[in-house]
Amino acid sequence: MRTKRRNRFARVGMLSIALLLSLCVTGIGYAAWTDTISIDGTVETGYIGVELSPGECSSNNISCSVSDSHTLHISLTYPAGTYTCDFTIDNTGTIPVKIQSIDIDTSGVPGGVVVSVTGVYEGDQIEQAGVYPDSVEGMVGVIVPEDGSESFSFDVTFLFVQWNMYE
Amino acid sequence: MRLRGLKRKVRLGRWLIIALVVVVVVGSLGVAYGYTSGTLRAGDMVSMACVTGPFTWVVSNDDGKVTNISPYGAIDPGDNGGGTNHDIWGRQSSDDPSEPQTRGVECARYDKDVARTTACMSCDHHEITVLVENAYPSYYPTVFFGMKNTQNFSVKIKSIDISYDTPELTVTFDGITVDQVLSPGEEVIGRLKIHTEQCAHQDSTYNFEVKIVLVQEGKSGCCCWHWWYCWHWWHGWHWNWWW
Repeated sequence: MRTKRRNRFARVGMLSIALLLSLCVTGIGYAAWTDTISIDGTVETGYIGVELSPGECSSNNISCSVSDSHTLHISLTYPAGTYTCDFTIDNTGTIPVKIQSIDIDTSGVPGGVVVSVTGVYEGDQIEQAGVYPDSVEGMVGVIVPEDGSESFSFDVTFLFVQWNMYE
Repeated sequence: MRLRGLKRKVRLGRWLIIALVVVVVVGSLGVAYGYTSGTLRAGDMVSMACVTGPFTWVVSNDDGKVTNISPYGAIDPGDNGGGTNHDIWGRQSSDDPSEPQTRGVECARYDKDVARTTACMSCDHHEITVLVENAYPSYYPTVFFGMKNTQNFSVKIKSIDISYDTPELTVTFDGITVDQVLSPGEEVIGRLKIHTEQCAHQDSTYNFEVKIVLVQEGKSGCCCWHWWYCWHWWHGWHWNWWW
């Protein structure tokens, strides 16, 4: 009786082990015929950075400041004559830029006064920092007729775009 | 005497079974170890594992060099390391591609070298890493790669999944298709096109991933030692290492 029981126990044990091993091998078999390969990508974008800086003015009657990063604010206190103010545009970014537009807001300028921007023009390109030329210089000119007597101010606003987006 | 002989045979049979079980278990453990750790101690095994992956080569068309791959010739003509009007990367990159490139044919490029794309392959030839630097909207590099069935059985491409959860990028893939079967020794060329969209933010980082799942052609997942053998073969290992 004891021998029979032992034999049964041994058979069941062997069957269990065989089943377990079969399951293990099935798992290994599944892993065997698949493989995964991959392409991992990282895209790091550059940036546009432009700094506008006022330069020397031709007279104490005229002053120039930067009201925001892309706008020059020009003021005249004792008009009548020809005045100029220099400015510099620096590209501090990693992408070349072009000047899309130069907008002179003449709404506060008296009649007869002529305002112009020279040295830089729409479509001009400023290379990225570290690449020549990453800086350009321009000048705002104001011609006030002899009969002018008012103080006034106006803004010159520049719009910069990534070089290949210029239209 | 007969009874003793029978007892001996039974004992011998038991030991034989136990020995077999031990061998199988040790073998199985060995497979599990090799599969999960990814690190092999024997130097020669490492070198073998490094040459058996499916990827065979990878070429970026904006890394400053025209790459010749036999037997195809120049893969990325035009990637000559220059920058016509603007050359921030020097010889490490070329005028930026503005459209996808067809293998062996020059593509349209801007007259500036502002961005750069490099691609490299892992030691085991299972992973390609692509890095795009100083990208900007409309920059459009292409990465070519070879994928070879180095096994002695046919392999099928089960799936290709491209994942990137950002509208700032468009990543497209061709040259390799799902259900495509590669015969032993056959090589196919894949092409990855990466477009930076207008809505991309400045000074940002975006990621993408392409996963390709390969299976043995004409086989399904039933239990068989054959698969174990194939798995070893795929990874360039020998039975001798285990036995």
